[in-house]
Amino acid sequence: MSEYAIEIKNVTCKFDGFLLDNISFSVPSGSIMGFVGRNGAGKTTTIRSMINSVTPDSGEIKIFGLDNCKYEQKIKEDIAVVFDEIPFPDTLTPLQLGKVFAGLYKSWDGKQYLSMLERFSLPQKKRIRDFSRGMKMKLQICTALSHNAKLLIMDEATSGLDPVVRSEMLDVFQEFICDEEHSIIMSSHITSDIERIADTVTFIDNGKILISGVTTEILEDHGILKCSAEEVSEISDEDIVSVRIGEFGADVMIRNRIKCGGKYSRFIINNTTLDEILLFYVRKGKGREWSV
Amino acid sequence: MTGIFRKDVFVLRKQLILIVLSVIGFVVLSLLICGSFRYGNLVKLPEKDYADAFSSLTMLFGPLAAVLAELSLCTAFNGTISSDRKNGWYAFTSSLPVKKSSIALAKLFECVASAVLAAVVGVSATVGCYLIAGRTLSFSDILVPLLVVGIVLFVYMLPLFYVFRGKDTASFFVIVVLFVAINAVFAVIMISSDNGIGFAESADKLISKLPLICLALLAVDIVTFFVSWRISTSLLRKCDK
Repeated sequence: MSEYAIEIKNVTCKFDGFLLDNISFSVPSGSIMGFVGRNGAGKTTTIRSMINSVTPDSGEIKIFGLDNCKYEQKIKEDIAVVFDEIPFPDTLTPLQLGKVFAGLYKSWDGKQYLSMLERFSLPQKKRIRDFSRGMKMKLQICTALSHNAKLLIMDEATSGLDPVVRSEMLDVFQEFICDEEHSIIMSSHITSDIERIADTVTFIDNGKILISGVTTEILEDHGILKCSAEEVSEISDEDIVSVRIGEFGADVMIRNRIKCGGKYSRFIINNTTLDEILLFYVRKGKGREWSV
Repeated sequence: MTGIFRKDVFVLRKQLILIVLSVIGFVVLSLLICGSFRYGNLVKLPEKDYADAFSSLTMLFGPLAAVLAELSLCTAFNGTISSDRKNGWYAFTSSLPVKKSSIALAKLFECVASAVLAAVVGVSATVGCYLIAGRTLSFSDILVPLLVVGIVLFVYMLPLFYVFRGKDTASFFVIVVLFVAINAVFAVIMISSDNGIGFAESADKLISKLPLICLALLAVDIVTFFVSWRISTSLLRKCDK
């Protein structure tokens, strides 16, 4: 078993007027990675390059230690991709869908599929077009988890779901990676989901990787320093990600929080969230200081 | 590839049932009409009119039944190419362990299967009509529906449904190509019959060469199959970019 489920090295890809610019990150086996970015950041393009739907202009992509172009069919037997919109013909029923998938995957497990349908209380003979959004997503998950996939690639799969269904889905994902052989990469702009279950997180914006690492370490390493607009000049540039100037003062996103805690002891440094980290890093691209 | 077939059959189940019922209805009607020449009110026609009317009609029923079956089935199967694109199934197949060439091959096999069924229907209808009317069947009579099936198969195997991403546009071009193909056949007959003079003789000459024409058409269809497979695969790959 390879140490990494996914390895992306120096991948550059021009697709449909968009540029993935020399991106690199990896997903350790047996973990969940959150792949976070705003709309149009490059998440879907990155996923498409992983499944070889789009061919990168340069760089290397390995899934389970294998080149994703040379071993494409072998790799795809062991991965499952879940999209934000259900891609199945809506005149089919779950039973018919199961028979279709049985003809597509060598390792399709019909019993597992039926038991997943039962677990999610999905009617077997009802047409997909009569399902609610949550039910459609659950059906996608059922098909994804019924052919012994070792890697789940989720492309904004929890978008548009209510909190109850989202929570249910996240529980299923956590069960999935219980053993060290299964991994998940979950692209989303719902950072609360990522904070809840992701072991590692990678931020992407405008086709570039902003930051990548262990979720808890990133959260602990960053903080929001509260000060006035004039006091911002006292903060060293190397410690600043970017500064949000507001009516009542400035919020400074700092890195190396422990070091900054000692260095700027007269200021309050608050905990931050992945949402804010993403926001401050994205805004950094337009200048050190920005206002709401 | 099995999964692709199953998906198409499940999606088109109602349509396929309707097509089968329509074709069966057409064949039954044809047999009833031909039966009328021997057992029904058409037997009262004067001999010459009887012979002329019968030979005109029975020549048509078998090929018409074949064309009805093949046009309906091939349009239905090829129509899933654009619906797959619209509902996201095609994008999803990029995540499946199924090659683009297999997807293109599945569609071509669906056309071939439709042609085989249509040929069986056409030949059965022709044989049935002649038997029920007590007429002698010649080898050429059986070849006519096969010839028609071969021409329609050629047109449907062209990658028009990939080139024209909309189903309606592609169907329109299929009709245009079929129209051109049929008119080409008539043009050949008219030219060889010196613009209609001796049309019957020219048609008879053509019928005598039918086995050769059918073999040539089979070869054309086989070549078209492989060329279309290549082009369709390439067009499917371009869709990703």
